[in-house]
Amino acid sequence: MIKTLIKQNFYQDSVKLMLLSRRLSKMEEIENVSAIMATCSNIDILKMAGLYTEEVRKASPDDIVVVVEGKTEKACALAIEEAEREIEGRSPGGEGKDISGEEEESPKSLAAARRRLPGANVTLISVPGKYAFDLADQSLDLGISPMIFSDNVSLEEEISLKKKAEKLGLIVMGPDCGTCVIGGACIGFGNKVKQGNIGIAGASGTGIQQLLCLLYNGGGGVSQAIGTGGRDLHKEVGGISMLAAVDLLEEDEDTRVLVLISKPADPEVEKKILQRVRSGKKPAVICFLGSGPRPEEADGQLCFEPTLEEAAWRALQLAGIRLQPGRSYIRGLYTGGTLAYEALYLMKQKLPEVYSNIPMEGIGKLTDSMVGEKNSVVDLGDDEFTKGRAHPMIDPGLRNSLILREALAEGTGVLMLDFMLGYGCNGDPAGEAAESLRAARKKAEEMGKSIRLLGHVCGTELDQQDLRKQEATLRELGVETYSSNAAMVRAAIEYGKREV
Amino acid sequence: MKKVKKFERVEVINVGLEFLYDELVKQGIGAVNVNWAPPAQGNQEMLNILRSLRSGKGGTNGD
Repeated sequence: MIKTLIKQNFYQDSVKLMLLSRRLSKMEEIENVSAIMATCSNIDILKMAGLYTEEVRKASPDDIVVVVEGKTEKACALAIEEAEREIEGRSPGGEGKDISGEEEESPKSLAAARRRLPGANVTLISVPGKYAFDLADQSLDLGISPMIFSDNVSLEEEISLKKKAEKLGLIVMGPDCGTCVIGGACIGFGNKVKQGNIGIAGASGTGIQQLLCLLYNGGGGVSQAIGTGGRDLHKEVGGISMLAAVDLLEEDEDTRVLVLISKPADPEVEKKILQRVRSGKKPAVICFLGSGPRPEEADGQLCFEPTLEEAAWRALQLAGIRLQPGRSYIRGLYTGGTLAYEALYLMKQKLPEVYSNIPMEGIGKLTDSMVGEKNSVVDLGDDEFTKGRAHPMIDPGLRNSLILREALAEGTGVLMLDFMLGYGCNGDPAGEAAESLRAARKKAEEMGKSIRLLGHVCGTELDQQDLRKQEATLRELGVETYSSNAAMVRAAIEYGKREV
Repeated sequence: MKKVKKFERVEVINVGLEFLYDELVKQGIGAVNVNWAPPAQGNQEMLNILRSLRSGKGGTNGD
């Protein structure tokens, strides 16, 4: 029995709809639920889930669609009734909370929000990509720097916003900027760490998170971490936001050491950025993943490190922190893009036949992004997976559904998984993966197959999910945990030398 | 080109995923959430008209 609800011209964000789906699926005699905005990619997912009905055919991208499958008509009707009540209760014009904690109707525009909060200096934008430009542009007009969490913003729009911000003395953080820590406040995804003297400018969200955790766990602290968006160091964008972030950190009296992280930068852009850093007075660690060590360019002020782990160690040293002392295929299922990138970078130096859905020199392209081949790493946070769906750091459901197949794939001996903690991230990523991990281990045993499950939890013990608890959950499930992504990958490479 | 303004105490306007606003409030950060819905019910033609009207006005109010 399947029932469908179409709410025409209603909108709710992807996380609210995910939570609604989960709540409905826990109702009695309900077997399967999907609550989505009816975009093309979401309709495809409905088709795959066997929940595509005649009513869905008539839905447009601005409609909410709820499809429930249950054992009885009554159960389905109750679930649909609950969904309708929930959707109508919240949208449009739902009530919001303001900083005083009193219930008050939420402002409906940025200008009205600014009147409510006159000291606002950051606008956090996480609407679907096609609407992000206008909001960021309005934010700049109001003299407020936008942090664009949204992805699927065009390159042209990004360039236009960043050029405008440059003229106004503002900074555009993003698009696709997951993480910023400003004055101790985590905006978007971010880990709770100590305030300190290391400042980060990063064209990489999970790269910033990995650094935050390594610095905290190594005894250090962070002054600011400014995200620039992954394309900022591309030739067309010219590193506008990275240059602004370097200026900010140079001016910031709490910052003693700079760390700049990115995937490989355009050579001209990189030159411009290094010149800007050299024109300042503070020492800087440069980690442009994939560009390799460059001792010939290092001097008293700049040093170059190949991985996030080494960058963190070097930054801790510069900040004056004393540091505490056969062959089978490897598969990685990552929720964090930069960690996936770092894994590929390490793997390609040691292993033949490495594949991924993300492009990198020396790495083969997967025929199907969701199916591993030989040694491979899938970045499940890539744009192709996040259209109309919550990022896997929020909703790891897609990753969990792939664990069994990847773990049991022929020749696979090692499976690597990352677990991102912190504000904005899923409340219990290790717990959510438990069912899939148990199933993989049980099935492998039945098949007489040896599979090593490796995990890196990128978090701190201060995070709401608690690093120690998450690691303990994983260890109970038979997952070996590692303190950094690079350590996990190196261990995987060692294990990969052994036969299955 | 102006030098980028230094952030003093951060205060955030959130627009989009409401749980990100909740996470800011948990940290005690001054924040306000915009009750956002797609403008012009997502109609691209209308969006283009709205955009050109806004840029024609000098784009100063954001209302």
